[in-house]
Amino acid sequence: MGLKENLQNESVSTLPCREAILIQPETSVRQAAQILQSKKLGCAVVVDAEGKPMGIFTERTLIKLLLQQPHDLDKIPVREHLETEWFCVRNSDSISAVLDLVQKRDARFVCELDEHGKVIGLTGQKGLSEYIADHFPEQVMVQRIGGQPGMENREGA
Amino acid sequence: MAKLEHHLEDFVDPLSNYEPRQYSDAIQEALAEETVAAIRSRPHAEISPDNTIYSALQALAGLQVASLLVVDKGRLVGVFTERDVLERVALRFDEVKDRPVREVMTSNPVVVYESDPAGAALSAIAVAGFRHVPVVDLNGAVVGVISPRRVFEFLQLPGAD
Repeated sequence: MGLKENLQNESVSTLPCREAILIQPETSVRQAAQILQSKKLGCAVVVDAEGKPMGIFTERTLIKLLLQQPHDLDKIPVREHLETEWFCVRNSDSISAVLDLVQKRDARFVCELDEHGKVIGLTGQKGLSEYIADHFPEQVMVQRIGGQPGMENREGA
Repeated sequence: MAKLEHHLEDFVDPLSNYEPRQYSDAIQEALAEETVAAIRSRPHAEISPDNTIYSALQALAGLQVASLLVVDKGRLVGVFTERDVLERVALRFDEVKDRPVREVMTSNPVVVYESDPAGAALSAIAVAGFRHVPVVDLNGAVVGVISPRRVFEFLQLPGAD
């Protein structure tokens, strides 16, 4: 089957996803930043005592707080600065549901939930990119990239 | 003259048996046959390497963008992204905020050329792992920046409805 069919028929569970960073709502912004930095991920999912997602805290929000309250990051709990819009899908949903969120809602991160509503992973633009690239190895995987701008004698130019 | 005419009679067009590549999928064809120039790469945001890190954060937040192309006298010298803020700025903000952004940018970033096949754009994102990839022309001048969303838009992928 082609990509368009697979987007409709394959489930989110087949998308590449990252292990989600789960943090408590009382975690300070500074602690959250330290965790995000150590895990090299731009988003942490804030969960309640039962592991159900309450929202996400992202590097984008961190930038706003650095500009507005740079000296209070130790004191501000992340629950006060969750993204106003955040997105979840069930791992049984079709991949096209994630694509819809990315294209129509500008979602960068999408939480993947199991059948009980617990967060089991994080996907989004990166996972979709990898999934699509896997369908076209000849056109994508063999590309020579990493060139520097301003090459003086580019072959064939 | 007689010798030249003899050679012309022997000439066999090397393209006489050429069959254009057949693609089973319109997306596959687009990735192979179209160029990066067909992918929307504007608008994009630029900053000078001498601007302060604080002003770079203001630009990211004010313009609501995830990346800034750092351009010096018309040449791309780096990229500064939300991820760079997390990794190089956030935990030592007071120490670095008045320093020039050149000190924390990603220097000599991976780029794609306008004339590269569109598949190179997806490769830079999905394989090399860069979320924002500058696009330059063959003279090295900045054209714009591509992202996963812009590539998906180019591929005209169908959504759920």
